[in-house]
Amino acid sequence: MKASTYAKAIERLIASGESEAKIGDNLIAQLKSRGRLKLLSGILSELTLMKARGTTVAPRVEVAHDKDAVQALTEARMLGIDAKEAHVHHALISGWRAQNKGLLVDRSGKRALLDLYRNVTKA
Amino acid sequence: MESIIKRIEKEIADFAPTKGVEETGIVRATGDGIAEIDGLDNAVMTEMVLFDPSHDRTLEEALKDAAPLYGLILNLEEDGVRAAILGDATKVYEGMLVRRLGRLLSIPVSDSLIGRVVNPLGEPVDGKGPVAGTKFRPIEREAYGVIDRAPVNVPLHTGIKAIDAMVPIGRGQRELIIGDRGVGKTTIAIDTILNQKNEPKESRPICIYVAIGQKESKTAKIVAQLQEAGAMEYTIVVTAPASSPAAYQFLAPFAGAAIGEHFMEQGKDGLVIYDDLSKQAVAYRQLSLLLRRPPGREAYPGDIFYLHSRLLERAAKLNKELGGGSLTALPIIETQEGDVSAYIPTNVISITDGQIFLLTDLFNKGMRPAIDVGISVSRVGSSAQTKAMKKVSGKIKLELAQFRELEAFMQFSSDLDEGTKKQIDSGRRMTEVLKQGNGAPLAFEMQAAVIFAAVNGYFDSFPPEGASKAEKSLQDYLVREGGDVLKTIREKKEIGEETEKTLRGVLEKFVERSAK
Repeated sequence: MKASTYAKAIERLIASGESEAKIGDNLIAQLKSRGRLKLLSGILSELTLMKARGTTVAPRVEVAHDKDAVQALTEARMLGIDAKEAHVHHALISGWRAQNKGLLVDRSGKRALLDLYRNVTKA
Repeated sequence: MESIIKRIEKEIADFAPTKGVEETGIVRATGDGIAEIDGLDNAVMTEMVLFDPSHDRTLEEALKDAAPLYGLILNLEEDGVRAAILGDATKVYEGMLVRRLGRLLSIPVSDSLIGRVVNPLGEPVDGKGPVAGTKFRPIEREAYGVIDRAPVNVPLHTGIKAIDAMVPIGRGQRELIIGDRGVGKTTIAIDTILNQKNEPKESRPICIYVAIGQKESKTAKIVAQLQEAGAMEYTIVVTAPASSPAAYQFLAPFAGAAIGEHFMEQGKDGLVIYDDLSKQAVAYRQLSLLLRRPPGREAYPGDIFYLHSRLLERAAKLNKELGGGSLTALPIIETQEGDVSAYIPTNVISITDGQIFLLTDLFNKGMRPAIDVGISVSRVGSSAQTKAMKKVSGKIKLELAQFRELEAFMQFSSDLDEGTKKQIDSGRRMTEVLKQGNGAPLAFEMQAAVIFAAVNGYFDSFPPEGASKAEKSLQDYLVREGGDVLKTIREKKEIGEETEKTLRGVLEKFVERSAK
């Protein structure tokens, strides 16, 4: 099996609530018994990558102004993006946008203006 | 000013901001025109994506470079996708947001494309402004099936005597033009486009010339030539020059086919020229290797045959229920040192309905077009030939093949018997009559009359080396003194007894006058 397959299996086990210490012990025992301890470094880098990816795709809500935060968080939650807090991003001009695991809801003034500009200039 | 204000007001009034949830991915790595994208779990093959730099820029920065940059998904992998970047790959960076567009790669098609030069995404590159029309067509689609098709039975005249007589092409056929570099492959294709001017407007095919990996100067020259001859009135040029990304060169023929199908489905005839598919194969090999697909023979990917077969299968003659339109394909393949047994040439030969093989040796001997009659064939074209052409061209191929056999003995002509000498002279005369300059296609009625004269011995009184000149004089004579004979052949599309009698009379007078 490839290092990435082990890493994915570990991720799945953690998600199912298995104890991390137990997973680690079992993994090393298994690799030792098969003489494949060399795979450890590969599994480590795959896990690091997964962790980084998890941070990038974590729920995130951005608002143009502080006052919009509550409304943005509520609307985002209704669309399945459940973020704990909203970050202020002035470049959005107005409105808000939210991201979660490859999903994007962009209701910002910047996006609306940009779309309008593209529509006007394309034909 | 007024109209611009109105247009902007209308756009603002109609504008509806994006409401839904969009699927996005993030560029993990990029290089050589390929982007590795994390995410996009639900993406499908050949789906379009949009690289969106505006996501982490201010509005002002985004407006400076607002032109959309698209990508084409070509690999679906376990933890992401790989996409070919359709445009300036240097603008794509790691961490860039990529949005799914939810549609397969499509191009805008409309009748207003006629006369325009566009890139494989349907964007105009001739500086004449945007193309009107918003109907989008996927550039990849399944070809029409057996039930939807009708037999090929309408000729597509190339205007080249040697082709229309010996290797006739029908509307809906796929005829390969193959030969080394610089032997006149493109010339045949362009002459065919020019010749469509001789067709009545209502049955004139819309021509699509697809330039793949060509020098931009060559394409510009061709466009100028077509414009000068008034052929751009019914022609569209799709260009993916040598400087364009490999993805463009791979997609250009499919874009040409999609445009051709637009006209075919309206019941019209289309003619699409792929110049050339060898370069498309090379571009596809490059993309496939960059996408880490396993290489096969000559490092081409395993689906290189399918690439060409699915493209060429789209040429068709539709049945009456579907409008009876047609799409004829003239793919071009460049060989190396005349080697037709190389991988790509054999593939395309086996897919098409025949091939016109051009020989460097003949070209160097001054034969134009340099067609090797022996191995050039048309598998379905003869049923599309007009009765007039069928009647006159019956024996030419055999006669020329016999002449090629005897040609080797020409240097010993003094030792040959009279019969052989006569046969060689007749072959030489026929070869001279079939010679034709660039950019001078002949209407089919003129071809029929000239070939009739050649096969019936009306050039026998001229020396073989003067037959070409005599043939040109005959053309002038037929226009000047031929009366209605050409018109009758054109209208009836055959040489009936009465027409034959009149034609013989005109030809006898021509021979008499030339002898004086």
